[in-house]
Amino acid sequence: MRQFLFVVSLALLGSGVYLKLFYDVPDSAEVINFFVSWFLVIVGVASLLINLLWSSPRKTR
Amino acid sequence: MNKKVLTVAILAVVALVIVYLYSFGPLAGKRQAARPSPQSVMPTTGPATSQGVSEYHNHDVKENYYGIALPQTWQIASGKTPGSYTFSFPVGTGSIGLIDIPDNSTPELFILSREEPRLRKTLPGYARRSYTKTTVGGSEAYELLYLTAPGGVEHANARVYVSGQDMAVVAAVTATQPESLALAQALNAVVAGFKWENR
Repeated sequence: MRQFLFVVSLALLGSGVYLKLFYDVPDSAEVINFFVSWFLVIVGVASLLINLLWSSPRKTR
Repeated sequence: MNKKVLTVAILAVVALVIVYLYSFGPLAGKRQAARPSPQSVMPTTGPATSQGVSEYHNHDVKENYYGIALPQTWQIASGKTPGSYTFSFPVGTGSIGLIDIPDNSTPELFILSREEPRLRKTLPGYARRSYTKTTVGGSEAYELLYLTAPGGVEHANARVYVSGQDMAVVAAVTATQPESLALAQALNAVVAGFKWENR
């Protein structure tokens, strides 16, 4: 489950970076592109960090 | 949930709120947009300037720098949008500006499927006279000649789209004397001095 979320987070981040840097935005869609790309980057980075920082419950013998 | 995770989640929510405010909220106007530069309407002088012609160098929009040379007798002013000019000459008016052609289109497809239908819809009495492919300043260009009749008075018009690396330049000229050579002369004056200046 955690690995699946990690891959999803990477996909979100990658999509955001693509929209931000490589996608040819039409003049009429610059505002929505600004919002969506930053949204994806922030959510992607945050979910990656949460994924990495989330402490698993320790198994007791 | 530990404190680090909670902090990241809160920071993410705060960042999303800020992005929303900068996109659609009260901070939207604070995002820096390209603005017309005063230098773009200052003609250059020097050995490169031909007699009777003023050169202008427009560096308003990154990756879309261009230069034009217009007769000194023409009135030229900065346009409303970055990278644009408006001008007037004895028998007409015109404009030069940047236009965004999407990557999933071609200049020709864009002109025929988007620009011409828009002109036909918005300009009274629109009638195409010719459409030709040409070359301007070494770049691929398309020339559209058409008639309009605003207020019942026939005008001759020309639009030239010059392809660039990122955007295209569109030069539009309108002459109030439809059958005179004024339109052709004005159009030649505009396209003769055009060149992209990207480095």
